Amino acid sequence: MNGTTSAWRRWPVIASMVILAVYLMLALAGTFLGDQANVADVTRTLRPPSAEHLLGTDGEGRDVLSRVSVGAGISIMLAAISVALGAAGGLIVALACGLGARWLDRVLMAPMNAVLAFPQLLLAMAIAIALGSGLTSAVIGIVVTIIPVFAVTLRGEALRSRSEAFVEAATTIGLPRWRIALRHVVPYLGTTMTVQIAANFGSAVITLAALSYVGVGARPPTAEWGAMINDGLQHAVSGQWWVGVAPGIALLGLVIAVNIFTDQVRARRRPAGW
Amino acid sequence: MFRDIRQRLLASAVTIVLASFVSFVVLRALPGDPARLIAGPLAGPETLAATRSSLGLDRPFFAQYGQFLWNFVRGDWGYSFSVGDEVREALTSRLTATLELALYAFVLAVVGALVCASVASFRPGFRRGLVRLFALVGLGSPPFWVGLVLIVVFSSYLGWWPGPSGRLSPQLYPPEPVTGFYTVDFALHGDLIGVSDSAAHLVLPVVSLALLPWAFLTRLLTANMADTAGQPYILVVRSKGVPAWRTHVRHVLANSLLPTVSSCGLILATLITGSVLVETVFNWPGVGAMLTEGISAQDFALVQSFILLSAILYVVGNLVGDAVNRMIDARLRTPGAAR
Amino acid sequence: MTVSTVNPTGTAVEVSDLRVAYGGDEVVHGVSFRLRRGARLGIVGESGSGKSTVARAVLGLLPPGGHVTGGRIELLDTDVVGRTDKEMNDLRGRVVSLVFQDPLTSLDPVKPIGKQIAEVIVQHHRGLPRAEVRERCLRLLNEVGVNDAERRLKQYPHEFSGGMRQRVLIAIAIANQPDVLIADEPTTALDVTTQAQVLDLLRTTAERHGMSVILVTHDLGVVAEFCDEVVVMKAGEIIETGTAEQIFASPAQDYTRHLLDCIPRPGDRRPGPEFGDPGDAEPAAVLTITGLRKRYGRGPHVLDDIDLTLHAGETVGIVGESGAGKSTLARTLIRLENASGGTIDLNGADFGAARSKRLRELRRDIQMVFQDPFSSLDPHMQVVDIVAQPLIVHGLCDRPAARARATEMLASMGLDEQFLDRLPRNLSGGQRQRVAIARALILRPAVAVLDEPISALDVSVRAQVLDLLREEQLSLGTAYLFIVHDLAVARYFCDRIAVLYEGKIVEFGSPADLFERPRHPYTRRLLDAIPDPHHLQRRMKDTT
Repeated sequence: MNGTTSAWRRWPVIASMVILAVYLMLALAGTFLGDQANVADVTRTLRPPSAEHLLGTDGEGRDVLSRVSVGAGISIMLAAISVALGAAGGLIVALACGLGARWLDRVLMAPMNAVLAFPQLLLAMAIAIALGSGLTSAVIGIVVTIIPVFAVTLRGEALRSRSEAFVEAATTIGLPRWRIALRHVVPYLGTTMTVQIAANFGSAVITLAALSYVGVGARPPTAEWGAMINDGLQHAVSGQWWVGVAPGIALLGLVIAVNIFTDQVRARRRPAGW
Repeated sequence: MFRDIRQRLLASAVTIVLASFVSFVVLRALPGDPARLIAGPLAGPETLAATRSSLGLDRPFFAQYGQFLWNFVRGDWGYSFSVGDEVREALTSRLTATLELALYAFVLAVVGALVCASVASFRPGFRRGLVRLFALVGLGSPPFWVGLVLIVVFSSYLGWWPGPSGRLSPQLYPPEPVTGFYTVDFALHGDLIGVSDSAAHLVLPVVSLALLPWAFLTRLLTANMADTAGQPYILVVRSKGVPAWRTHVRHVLANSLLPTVSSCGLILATLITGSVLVETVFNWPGVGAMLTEGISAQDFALVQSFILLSAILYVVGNLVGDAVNRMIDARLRTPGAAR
Repeated sequence: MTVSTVNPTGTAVEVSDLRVAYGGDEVVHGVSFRLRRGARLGIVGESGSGKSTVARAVLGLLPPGGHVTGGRIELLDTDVVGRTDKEMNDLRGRVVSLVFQDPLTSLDPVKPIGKQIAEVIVQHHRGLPRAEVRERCLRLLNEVGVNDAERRLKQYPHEFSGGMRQRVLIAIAIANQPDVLIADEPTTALDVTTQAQVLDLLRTTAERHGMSVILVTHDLGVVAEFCDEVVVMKAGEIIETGTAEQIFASPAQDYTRHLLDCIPRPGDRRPGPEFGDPGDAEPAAVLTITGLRKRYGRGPHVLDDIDLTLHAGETVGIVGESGAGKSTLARTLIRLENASGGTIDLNGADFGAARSKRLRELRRDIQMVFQDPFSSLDPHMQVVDIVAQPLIVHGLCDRPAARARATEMLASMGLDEQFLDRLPRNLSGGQRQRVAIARALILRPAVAVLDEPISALDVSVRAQVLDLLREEQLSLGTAYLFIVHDLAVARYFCDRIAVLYEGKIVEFGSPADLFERPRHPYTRRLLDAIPDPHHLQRRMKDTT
């Protein structure tokens, strides 16, 4: 690296912000389209990308671009809800474990570790089936698997904060424990929290798509990306690649933008890694 | 040291027992009628009643859990209506197909990650940027979509490798099973056409499956290598006159591997999840594809056994990672040794 | 100062007009010096002066992003600037070698010691038989004073103590008998007594093999003990060059003089009246510790039967080496950890046994200043709020009033209004420590525990912080318990000193008693080990 260091370091953040803004606009357009995107038209099935249909049409004659933008709204919204609930739950558990009594820590962490032992997607699937397929079940499944991820990482940080000199200093001043937690520990967790929220947002988008792909998330004809990719699979071999490729690229772009953002936040705290 | 190991084993056992409890709760407490889920949507009233009594649904909650645990331990994992066989039978009969896929993917991911991470930490600039970009793509792509794209490009368009047609071309017969791996079995029988055909069928699914663990490992290793390369002992090694690449192989790599090995369980988890998502794309006749079918058929007995088994695999994988770490790192062999 | 030279006129290293930059920022601005063969040169400076950068430039091993932008570095009459890495590899470890700062992190943790020593031998002697390599390793370990070398070769770094690891590093550095040895803060991370041994070893081996040494350090005491020539660096430039005698006896530059002044001379005392002068009224005891013990789990006692009394307005120093239990004593006293036995009486209240609300109330009278001002201040809080916080916590006044008091307190410590709304990361080390002191003293506590309050600071600001502490003590009457590893500072600042050794107080008395008439053998060992620049100066004055 040379003189352009600071600009070089900044552009990924700016780029990822711009991409995220584009997605939000896409999602907004999608919400205006609403059910229109699901209207089938047998007279124009499987048309390749053209000026009329920028991303072509699918097997039922629906415009792929419209469906991708509706899907953006669904993915961003549901992933955000899942991560918000998961983060809140995880933070509460982490504070109780990291700052509370040791028995509380043990009692709370054991089930967290048990849930973490399952591959995230598979447990979410099982929960979604048990609750009956649908987007709500999928979100509940994702939240259940995200809570322990937050709980474990934030707990580690909370425990570390206890040996930070400024937290000890707060103790020697005579601050009660709960006020130390709110005034000093929660801000201390801020960066980790941001990193975790961003990282889990990305993985929630993928998990949601995967749940729909295997058929326990969105039900047809909902324009969810995973369901669309599943639908595109049958056309892939026969040459109509755009049906399945388009929603995947949309998903990939979103997750990459989020991950670049995550990396940058992480790197600012710990310059050694990526 | 032995006390340490005993504690690790104990903690792992507790996690497994709790995991079994979680999977029990998901099955029994969440759904309205567990018997319906277990027996399947097509079961008649008698079957339902039989299922109910075999599950002991009239008994107290913890007695039911005890029964479930006992059944699981003795290998009675229930009946899969979507396959039409005992769950255990169904899983074991398809295991080798998945294992062949997963093993090659594992090797590809690990070797690829070692090479790419070394390149990235050794050659800043363009090559590092390239590795970094690919890792980001790998982390962001759902494996089933990667499979789809690979089929579109390399099978439909370029025609280099076969698309979604399972483990073999239809005109070939599977080899006499020895290991269950087609590539190995064909080689053992000296059937070169078989070897190349089965290998060609492996390429795309293995790449789709390996991408995620490769990306994960590459990122982890690169971060660790950057960390290690900044350590004073690396400067000391360089001050001895040891060339940069040899320093990297001998010292940086060895020290970066330690934290990587302990994520063994996570790699296993990504492979298991990946096989569930990838196998259907390629019509691969393994346990993953079977599970996907089971999921769409709401075959709960199958799903439940599968997730519990993968949780156990995860815990065991972590234990193995720990053990390997212990072998590499002398510090861990001495109790209470700090850096 | 006798210099054993192979060739007194030869030059080992000659650096001329060296410039080094990181990215676009030049950090070394045209540095020139010469190291004679067999001589020992000290490069002295504070953190950020560029001294380590110069040392690493000689090896051609600048940190990533750093590169030489101008000048020459002649190593035995050949310029090393601009050489390829391959050519440098041939020189490193054979002609020039390095002893690095922190022995704890300077050895590869997953390789046995033997392999790490053998590596440097094999690198420069391809095809040497294995037995011969092993033989040389054994000889080297014996030479640097590592006993039981046979067994030690197979051991890993974590099985060695800090001092032993530094010996191993020296063995690695001298393995191929290089002409030039670069030692970058080789003793900074070590205890005083170990420090003296390692310096001694460096000197004897350098003399035995006729090696020239560049010693990079911030510690003038070490330079006085070790070097015959000195360059003083500040902000990337050399501001003074000379023989050790010249530099210490008659420094030409204000900065050098200032650095020297920052080290208390024996007999120097902090300002203010001496404590316990005859005629004073019997001072009140504010803190009485009796039979204090601390152990972790079933381990040995880290603190064993400590008795100590602090009177209002006095400073008691606790000295000892790392592992002696100094920090544990501070943490137990302040109730960051619970004692395993004994009582802590604070102004008549049983502080040692107080719990929850009562404990928090009593904390008002006993405060602490932590060692590292970089971590003891909440990075998210403004300076004024950090200082005001104790007042608010104890309900002594409301928020605006507390902030006003804090502003006043900070102003009296030389931090005016422009600092109030800053975050800690925008302050220098000395400024942060002042904020930490303000936070501890704003409650006017009866006792303040100072845990190495100046050891994380640059030499030039240490004296200011000590003066500040003394001023506040005189105006508030607070009793200080001063944990310190630097005996010169203890002698300068404390009224009474306790020597802590293996969790016990082995000696307790006034500085004069302790330094002139040490009774315990451990105290004597400690005193002998102090490197002292004034020592050299005094000796020279005696002779003139």
